[in-house]
Amino acid sequence: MVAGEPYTATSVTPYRLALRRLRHNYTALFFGFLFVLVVVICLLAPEYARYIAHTGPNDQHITDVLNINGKQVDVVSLTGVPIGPTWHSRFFLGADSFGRDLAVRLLYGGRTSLAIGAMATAVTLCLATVLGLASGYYRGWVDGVISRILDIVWAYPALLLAIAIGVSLATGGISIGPIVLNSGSIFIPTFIIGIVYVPYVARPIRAEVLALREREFVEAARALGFSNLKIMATEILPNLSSTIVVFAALQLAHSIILEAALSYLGAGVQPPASSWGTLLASGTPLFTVAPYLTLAPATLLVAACLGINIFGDGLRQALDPRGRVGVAR
Amino acid sequence: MARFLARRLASSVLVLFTVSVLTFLIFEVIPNGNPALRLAGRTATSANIAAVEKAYGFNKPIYIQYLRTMGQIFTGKIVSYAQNLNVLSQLKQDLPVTASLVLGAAVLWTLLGILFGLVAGLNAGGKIDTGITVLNFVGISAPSFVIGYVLIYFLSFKFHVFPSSGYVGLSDPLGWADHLVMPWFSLAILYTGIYAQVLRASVVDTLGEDFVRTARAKGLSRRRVVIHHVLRTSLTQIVSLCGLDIAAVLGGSAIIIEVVFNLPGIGNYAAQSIGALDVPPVLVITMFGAFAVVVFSTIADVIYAVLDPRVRAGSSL
Repeated sequence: MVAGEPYTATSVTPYRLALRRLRHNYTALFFGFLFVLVVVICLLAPEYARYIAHTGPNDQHITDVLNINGKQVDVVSLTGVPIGPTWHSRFFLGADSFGRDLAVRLLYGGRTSLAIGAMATAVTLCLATVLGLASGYYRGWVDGVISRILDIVWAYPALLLAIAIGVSLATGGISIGPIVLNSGSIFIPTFIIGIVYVPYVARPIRAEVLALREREFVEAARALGFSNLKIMATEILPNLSSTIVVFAALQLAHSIILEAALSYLGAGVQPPASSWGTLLASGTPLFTVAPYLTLAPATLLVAACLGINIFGDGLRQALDPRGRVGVAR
Repeated sequence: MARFLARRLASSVLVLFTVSVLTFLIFEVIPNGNPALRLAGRTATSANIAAVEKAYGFNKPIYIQYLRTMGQIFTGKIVSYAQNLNVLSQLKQDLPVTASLVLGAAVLWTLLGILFGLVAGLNAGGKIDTGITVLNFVGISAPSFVIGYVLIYFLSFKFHVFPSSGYVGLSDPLGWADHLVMPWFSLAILYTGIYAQVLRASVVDTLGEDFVRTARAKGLSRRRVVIHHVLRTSLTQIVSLCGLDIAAVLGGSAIIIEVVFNLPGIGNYAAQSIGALDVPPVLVITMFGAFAVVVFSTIADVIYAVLDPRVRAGSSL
């Protein structure tokens, strides 16, 4: 990492090299663009709600009547079946059974899902990096204690753990010292998801640190009298960065999917807040009469996860020093 | 090997103990979680509640409650709060459903994963490879319950090919398979994608090894080289993955799929018990799930050591 130093054009840093490889991987770039596209349209949710749909994510229109191509149509029919996609500015993708605009809820829900995914990924990566670094670098009893903790988190059935904590916290919230979380807080599913995945990331990092700490440059740093903390921060951590970057992409997809699963089982995001998971949960009972209520959030969720997964795979190939250019190595 | 197994055993006892304590504590700190309130019924007086608390021992310190519950689990007398039924006999009744679901799906994802991974790996860089890779990532990116609902919509509701829910015992093998085909696929698609990707990478690596070139050079047919040299080497990874994933599915995706397809298995039991804040079944099922993870990962390590001579020789276990 030599940002700002006057390097000549003949020298190529590993990241420059990776970028060069990635630039020629059109499959990865296309799917990366797909993910960015989903993020951008979700970020534009308030503008869409205000200027195009003219309704908020929680506004109910059960008794409204729409005029579509000269015909009068109920937003929610007398038998309780909501309107399907109108492909007009209002109720573009139809309504749910409360007469709420599905497209608006979808975009707002996407913001929640993406935010939870991003924050949970940050929690996972921070904890996993610190634990992996400490146990791989210090070895001995530190490694023993951390590895056992990881074993326990890993052996605890992930979804059961998440549902158990999710249900217990969602019914009453929690207060630990000065931190008070309401039962509807999205930080509850965020932390659960973040912690569940820590062993999956911490173990590979630990293995890498175990190998790195024996390398000559670490020995050199030790000979120069660097403290342990400084060696970890300036010698080992930069060498872990490509692993962490790849895991960031992977974990983002994993976290978004786990959020959907948790919310589907009622242990994640709590109504009336929407996320792709809660939209799926409320859509699936009506699957036979109104399949778009399930298909719309499912499509957006799969598009986002597919985009980040394939882009992440391209990133992995590009950062792999043995890697060659192309989709298939 | 004996030392390895002994160490594994000790560590798994520790893991199971911690898991049980954690589960117990999680439910203890739940606000409004006092089971005596629900056990005593809707019109209970405070005297009723106190009587229930005394009968079940809820007024005792938490470690005594924990020891009591663990004692009940190991003597097989553990009873659920909500239905007052023996948890272990309920579990025994649900186990065949979950086992059919998970093992059937595991067979499916292993076979499909090997097939896709092999085809993609042998055609690495080509159009077939890219197609399979994108398909794998679609499988990895789609939540299993969404796949389940899409299958139900098209194969049960639109075209009546398979029943949308329920379970038929193994005494009627055709009905059994008929009811489980869609759950198997919903569960298997994710792991098919993962296995195909893992195997593909391994096949590509192995194809570049010297021993493969030697095998071709001494005149073995391509088919023989692929099956006996390439696949055999690549399969070790799949075997160790399989054990871990079966355990992970038991405590994870199987719950959701059982709820989606209304299968009366352990996962459905767990979901209902958690919803009712019914501690004993959740405790038993969580320990069962953690136990499965420990057992299956030990088995996977042993098989891995047997299959891969390098691991055995290095005694890195």
